[in-house]
Amino acid sequence: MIRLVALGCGLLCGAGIVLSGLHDPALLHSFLMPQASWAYSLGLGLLVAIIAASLVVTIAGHGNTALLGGEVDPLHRAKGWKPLLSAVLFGLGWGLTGYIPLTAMVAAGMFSPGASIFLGSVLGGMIVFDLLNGDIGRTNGRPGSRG
Amino acid sequence: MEIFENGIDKLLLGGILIGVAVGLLTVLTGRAMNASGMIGSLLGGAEGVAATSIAFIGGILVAPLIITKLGFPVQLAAEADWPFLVAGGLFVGIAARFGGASLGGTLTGMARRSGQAAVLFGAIMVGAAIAVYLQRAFSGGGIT
Repeated sequence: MIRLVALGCGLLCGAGIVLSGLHDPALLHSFLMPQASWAYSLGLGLLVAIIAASLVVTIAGHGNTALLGGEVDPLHRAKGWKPLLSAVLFGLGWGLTGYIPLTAMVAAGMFSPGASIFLGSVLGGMIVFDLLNGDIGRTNGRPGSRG
Repeated sequence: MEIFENGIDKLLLGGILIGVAVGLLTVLTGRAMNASGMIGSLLGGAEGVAATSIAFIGGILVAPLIITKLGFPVQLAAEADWPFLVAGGLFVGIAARFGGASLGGTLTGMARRSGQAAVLFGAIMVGAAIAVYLQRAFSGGGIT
């Protein structure tokens, strides 16, 4: 059942990204580099998404247990300065490409070649990090490992 | 169907769908919409976690096809040059492993009223702004 819900949420999220056009890598640049006219699409789309998600969480009530069973993911596994530094690094990657993994997966579903290069590189970055830390295949305690 | 002439209706509808998906995923399954973490779990996640991730990723990949079949126009967008895509992808992958960074994860966090998630969202935007401004200042070889 959980996998079916995950599939449905993936479909819903992917449809939302395609309809809103948020998969377009240029939106980040036009949002952060206003020129003749400011393109607010990215900011407005994200704002609406946050409000809608908050409403769902508020209506359903958010405790430590998921409605279909199991514990709710802790929001931040990494401690100290690591989350902040990794967030800035993530932002650098987003800024360079205009893609985050979510939007790149949608673009890959549209057979966009650059999105596939980006996603391959994301996997490559993870493998490089794991190799440097000598923990290939080990997932316990890894930040975001439950994803 | 166009309610507003500049297509803002699709932007709003899309944002609502994304938000509902984020909310439902977290309240029903307990999972954050952390796409990079889901991709990472394919490299060796705990039992059951990788299968859930595959289901979610499958939904994301199939969504454009369904939207097209429903008659909505789907447009491919211009992309950055491949060296930027490779470098940016490596940054995102390393960031996901190093500290669990994810934009979808911060959206989930903010929906759950986490102040730290809001701070991390701000940090992601700062990183993105630095990259965009540097790119423009030095080469302009990215997306224009």
